[in-house]
Amino acid sequence: MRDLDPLEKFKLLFLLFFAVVIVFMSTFHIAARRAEAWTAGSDDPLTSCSDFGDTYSGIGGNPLQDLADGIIPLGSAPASAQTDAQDYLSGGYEPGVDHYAFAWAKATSGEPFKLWYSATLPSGWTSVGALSDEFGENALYIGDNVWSWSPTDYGTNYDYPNSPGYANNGIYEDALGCLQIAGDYYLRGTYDGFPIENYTFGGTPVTQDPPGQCGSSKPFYTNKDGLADYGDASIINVIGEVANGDFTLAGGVYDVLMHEIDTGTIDQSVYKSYALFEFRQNREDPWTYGTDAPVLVMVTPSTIVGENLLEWHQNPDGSFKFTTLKSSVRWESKSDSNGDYGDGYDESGNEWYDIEYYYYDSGNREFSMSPGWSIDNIRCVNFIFASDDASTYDVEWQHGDYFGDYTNFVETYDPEVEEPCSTFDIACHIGKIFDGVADTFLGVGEAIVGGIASLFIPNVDEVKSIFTNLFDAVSDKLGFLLFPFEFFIDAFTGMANAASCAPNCSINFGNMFGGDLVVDPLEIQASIPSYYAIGVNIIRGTTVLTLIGAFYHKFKEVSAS
Amino acid sequence: MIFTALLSVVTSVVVWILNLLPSLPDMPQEIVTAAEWMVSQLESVYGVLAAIYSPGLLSAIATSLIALLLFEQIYHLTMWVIRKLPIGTN
Repeated sequence: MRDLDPLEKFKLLFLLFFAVVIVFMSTFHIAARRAEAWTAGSDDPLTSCSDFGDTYSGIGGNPLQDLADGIIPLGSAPASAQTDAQDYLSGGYEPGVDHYAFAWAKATSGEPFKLWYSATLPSGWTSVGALSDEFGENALYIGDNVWSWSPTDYGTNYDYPNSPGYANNGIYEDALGCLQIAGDYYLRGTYDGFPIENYTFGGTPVTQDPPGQCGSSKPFYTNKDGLADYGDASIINVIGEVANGDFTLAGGVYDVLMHEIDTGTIDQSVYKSYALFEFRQNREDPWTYGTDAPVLVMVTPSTIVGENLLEWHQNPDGSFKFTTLKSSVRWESKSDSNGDYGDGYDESGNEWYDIEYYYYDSGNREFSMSPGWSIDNIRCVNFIFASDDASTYDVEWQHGDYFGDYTNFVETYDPEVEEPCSTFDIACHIGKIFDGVADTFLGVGEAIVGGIASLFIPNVDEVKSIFTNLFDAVSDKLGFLLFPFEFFIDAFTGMANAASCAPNCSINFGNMFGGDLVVDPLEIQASIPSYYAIGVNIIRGTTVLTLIGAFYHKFKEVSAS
Repeated sequence: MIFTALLSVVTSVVVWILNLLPSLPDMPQEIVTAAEWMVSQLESVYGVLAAIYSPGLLSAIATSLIALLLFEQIYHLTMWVIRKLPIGTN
């Protein structure tokens, strides 16, 4: 065999390298497809909760069959999961007698498959639910008595029981709420009288507006137009309604609020906007301590005018979810007898009420309410309250005209506007005179410097405009002659700006190669991460070594000539 | 202001000269569409490669490939410059 020259060796090495890459990609692509066993729906992989097109074709059949057959190991999960699956598949399910549910979800990263199984549904609960992207991409909530498995630890890391409805938002952050509970494999709740048919998560989730409350599924608004039933719906109005008996604020919340108002302990320079929602359960004694406690949320950006403070939705199972859009402080009821506020306030006759408040710096805080909350009794109020300082608040409060004017005050609120001096505050007036003189000198100086600078330093926008006009004229005249240049500019710009395709790496070359050719390295990574890491490192190392070798031979070749 | 005025005069002259010339037709739309498809495919491929190699390494590889292709010219240019420098003379 004759010796190859360096250039031929380089070409051969490169060809071998690409052959390895292609074999690697093809092999693992097929393996990933088999392992995952999801059939592509509208697009694959899932990228949003609105994509419900994917269906599970099963590891050994369909998920329910897999569960019944023991292909999905139970681990420490209850054995009834398997027997219930067998019961359902064999037709042994008896409406009104059996209570169980199954649902499946596909995660976007990491674990490609999750199964939820629910048994013994409590009254009023769906067993498993999913929130669409309307509620946030990662919002997934699970009903009571739900076990969950992941493919890597079926049954060994089950979570039971989850607190009703919403406790898992943080746990399953990687899992989109795209549960396959309609069609062939779907949530099979058998709760008596529960309209399970409404919870087919093949499309839009059920949303329902509390009748006449809080603006029909729209976000809260800080202006009065956004609130349906409460007019300008300020907390002040609410307080007024409390006085009139039209609206019942929880005693603790009211007490806290009035305490803060009276003492000025709210830092008005920080907390300027408030949103409140409160709940009462649909029963005779609505304010008994417990998870039914009313909640006051204070949304606290420095200035808010006309922005949404809260969003809320009703979940398909009738529960509610509220999301604060700004940083917030939350008041919660607490059952102890050492209250800071509301001490001595006995709301129900047998419980001392106390309210504590908790500060949360982050926005988008979610509060969820179980279906036990009656939509007829929910009250949600969004309001703004603003003042530069607590003393102003106190003064206006004392004059009794603050509340009447606060809306206008908010709408015209400008933190840059200075407070006017009071009539007899001579020091203030003199200070303002000196400030004015100083501002004048500074203004004249800045104008002179700016004028000189503008003579020599061109304005960027003007220069940009000149070149834009020139380019337009050139492209207009040269027509197709410019095309090659534009093509290469576009190509290089596109490549320069192109980032890693993650998390959507599917490239569809169509049938250019005799069939669908889809390259999706991330899918491989999710399915067989260890092999993927090894393969990628081999590819990277081979490439770098090949390049170094090519440089070496090229240098030898050129320097010898 | 001064720089902008001078630049404006120069570009105005160029535009005036260009206006004397006839306008050439644009490239046919079919070709433009095909070119756009090619660019989009290139970007897709680049995205996948970036996922495999990481964007930083891919940039280094792309730069190195260009340098390899132009190695001879770059080498001779560099040597020509070095020979012109006093330190490069024997």
